[in-house]
Amino acid sequence: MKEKLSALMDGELDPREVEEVLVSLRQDRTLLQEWASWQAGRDILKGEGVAQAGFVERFSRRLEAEPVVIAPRRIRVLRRLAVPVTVAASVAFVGIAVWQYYGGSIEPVTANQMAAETEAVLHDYLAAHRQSEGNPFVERGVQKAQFQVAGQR
Amino acid sequence: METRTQRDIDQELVLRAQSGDKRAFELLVVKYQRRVERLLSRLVRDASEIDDVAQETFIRAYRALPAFRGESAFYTWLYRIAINTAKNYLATRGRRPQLAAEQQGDEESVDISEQMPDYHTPETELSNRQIVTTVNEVVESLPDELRVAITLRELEGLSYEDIAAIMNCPIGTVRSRIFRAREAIAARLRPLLDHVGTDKRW
Repeated sequence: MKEKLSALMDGELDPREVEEVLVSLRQDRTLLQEWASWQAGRDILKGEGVAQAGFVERFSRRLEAEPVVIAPRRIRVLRRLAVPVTVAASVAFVGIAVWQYYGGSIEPVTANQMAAETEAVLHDYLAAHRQSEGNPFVERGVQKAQFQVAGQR
Repeated sequence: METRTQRDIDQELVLRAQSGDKRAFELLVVKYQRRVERLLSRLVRDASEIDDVAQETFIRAYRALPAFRGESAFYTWLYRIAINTAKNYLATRGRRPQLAAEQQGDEESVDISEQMPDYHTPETELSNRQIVTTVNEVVESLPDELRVAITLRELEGLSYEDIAAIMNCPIGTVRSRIFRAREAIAARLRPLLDHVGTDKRW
């Protein structure tokens, strides 16, 4: 385990093994002392000087009294969701487009059929009405007017 | 394995700490303790004050951890907290930050922090010099393969893969050599560090 901790210090530990090392750190405090000794050795070799002794022990006591922080994972979650959400959106878009395409061609036909039937009934009714009332426009055909309301669909 | 930068390593530990793992944060504290102390020594004069402000810096960093999104390197973010903590500390005492170089009258001649050792007493100065000498002696006395491996790693910052190529050995062997070199240095270093610890007021 110590050799793995040493590899972690160099960023050479397989990410899957990092969790294993951290679990060991929770169970064995001497591993933190090892890490501190190695870090002190590194600082000295690099000419950084000698860190204050006993610092991390004092810090750990203060840290224990601190509430555990849990950061919202919005960035990572968004990144992780980005691809599936994009794919889902694309699929949904294609689905809606297809539905609209077929829906768009069927719906006017149905509406026209309905309109034709209504027009025929209306024409017969008006013709009969005009004749009975002595209407001067008896012989004239019925003018058809169409209205389209935008955005109904 | 692809070489990971120190920033990647920090980010990995930060993510663990942000998930509630205090041990991961302690690893970062140990890693950056010395560098934060050096930074603070440019702003705060007294050794015991440096220690207090460094402790406060790391506690503040821990509390602010949920707000850290990795847009900058962890140490950049940490250094900013350290400077603000030092300024607040001095402001509450009616003092303002004073760089050591302002007194020297020459800001560029040498590293400012070198002029401000953490320990001002002759005893601690002696201890520090002894510690540095001991570490260098241990490295010199290591078998060649351990000395070369630890030197390439710590001083040159090379990856295990690069060191393996230079030393013509498997990566696993490099990992083992570096670990054994660290253990050898730590074995001599620990009693000295413990001794320095007993000299302190706490």
